[in-house]
Amino acid sequence: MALASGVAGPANGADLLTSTGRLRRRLVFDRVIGWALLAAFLVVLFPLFDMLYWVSAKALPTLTWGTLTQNQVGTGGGLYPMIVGTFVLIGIATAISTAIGVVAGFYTSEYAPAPVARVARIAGNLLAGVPAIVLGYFGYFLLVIYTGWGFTALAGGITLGIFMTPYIYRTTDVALTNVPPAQREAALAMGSRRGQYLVRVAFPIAIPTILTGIFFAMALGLGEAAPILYTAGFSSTPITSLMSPTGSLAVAIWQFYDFPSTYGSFLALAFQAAFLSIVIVLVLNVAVQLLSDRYRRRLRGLYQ
Amino acid sequence: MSASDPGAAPVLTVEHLTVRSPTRTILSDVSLEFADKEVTGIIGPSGCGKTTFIRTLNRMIDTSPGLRVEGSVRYRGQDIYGRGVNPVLVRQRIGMVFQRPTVFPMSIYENVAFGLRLLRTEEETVESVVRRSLTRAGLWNEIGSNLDQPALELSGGQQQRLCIARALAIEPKVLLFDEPTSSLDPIAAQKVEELFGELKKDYAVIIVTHNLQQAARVASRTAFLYQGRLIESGPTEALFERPKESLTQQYITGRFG
Repeated sequence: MALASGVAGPANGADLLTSTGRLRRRLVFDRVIGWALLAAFLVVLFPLFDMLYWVSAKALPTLTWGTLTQNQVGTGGGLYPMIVGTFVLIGIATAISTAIGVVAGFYTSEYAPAPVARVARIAGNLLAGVPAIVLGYFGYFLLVIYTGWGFTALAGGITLGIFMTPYIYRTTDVALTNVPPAQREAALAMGSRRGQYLVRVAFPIAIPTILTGIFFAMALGLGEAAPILYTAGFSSTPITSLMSPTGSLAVAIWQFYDFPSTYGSFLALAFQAAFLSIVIVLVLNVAVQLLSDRYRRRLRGLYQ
Repeated sequence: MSASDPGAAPVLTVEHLTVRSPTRTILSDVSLEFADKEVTGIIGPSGCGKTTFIRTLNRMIDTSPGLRVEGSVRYRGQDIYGRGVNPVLVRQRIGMVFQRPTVFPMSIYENVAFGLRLLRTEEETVESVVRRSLTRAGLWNEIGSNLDQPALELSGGQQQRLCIARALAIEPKVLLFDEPTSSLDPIAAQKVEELFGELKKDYAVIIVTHNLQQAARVASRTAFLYQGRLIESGPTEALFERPKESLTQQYITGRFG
């Protein structure tokens, strides 16, 4: 039954509540689009699950307690030195990048004159775009050669820190800039200086986002071999000091995966290192969710 | 202009105040005096410059980039735009409450204590000031036993009165209100309005409102702004019943605005 002049309502007598004609075609189209979006989503998910399956399938059969606790011996043994090394490198890098990134974010979100802030944001984006291997060489020339340190955990940590800094800077800057302007007005009207506003009002509001940024940067840094390859070097025994070279999971993958299959157990170690990296990233993700949820609960009602 | 209160020196004196944005003049040549212990209402249609005007009185205007202020605003004789004047100190003496409640995402207690913490007040003093401020804002009986509750969980009206308590806590001399009830329901608005009678005993109160009845109810003096100019000001009764200017007459009888 056609609708009179396209206006909804009874045509003659009966008021139809089922769709017909053009309206029906639109509903079908709507459903088709829905299926297409779902398909696109699955295409995106496929590589992730395929990778997870592939790595787990190769790593799990040979994964033992010894993988976590033993040194690498010859072509076998465990990944203990690389696990410790990874945590040391990420620890140094997180400390450095958080300090620099958060302070820089404070500066551009509140203090910097608009043109300076603009330049700083572009610079941050540029740094994020520098290929990790270029940073690796920068670290190599500056912290390995020029300082005469040789390969050290410290040089690796600093270089990885430089790699992580722009991500933390950017999230801090955005998080602080996105604090509702009314909060700033209220704080300033109470006689806050800008620094007091930042520390007492804006920072607590921005914390969940900043934390997410820090953990995201950690997850990225965890997977990067390039910045530490020529700075932290590699070692199959546990780290003894910050001034000694250290192994890491990322570099272990890079090193062990390239050996010919006649060296069988090297390949297994590479997959175990990959598997452990994924597990650590997963744990980091869950941790940051739980942590920032706790902070977010406080903010309920703020963005209305 | 304020011949009606001889002897009492005004707390704030605005002289030839002009505010320009890069594209237009928002306020032009406004001169007005505000007496202590009195409520002054600022009325006018949307876009007349009321909000800009009240923001010049505690230098909150500084936070809007690109606006140029000419003329003077004297607080007890001292030009707040004068050389060497620190806007932070101006705002500690001239408090402000905004159109929408702007509580911080902290406990009720910490909200009221906010300004005192900035001044590094001792905790014992803080406790008594928090209690006194909440009482003066008419909130103590409602929430005095839940001071640790997050302030964002309060109703809109309670949040607005909490903002008033927060402003009171640092003992300003002047309180500015920018449409303080326009985001509240009638009952919550009435509770806020009832506070003005008490507040004027201790402070100079200046309230911007587009609600003419509200101005008539709470203000003893009223100023009418239109298109950035001060059209008329005087005792509220006189302004509403015997306006001198025809524009005022037209506005209060609802012919525009």
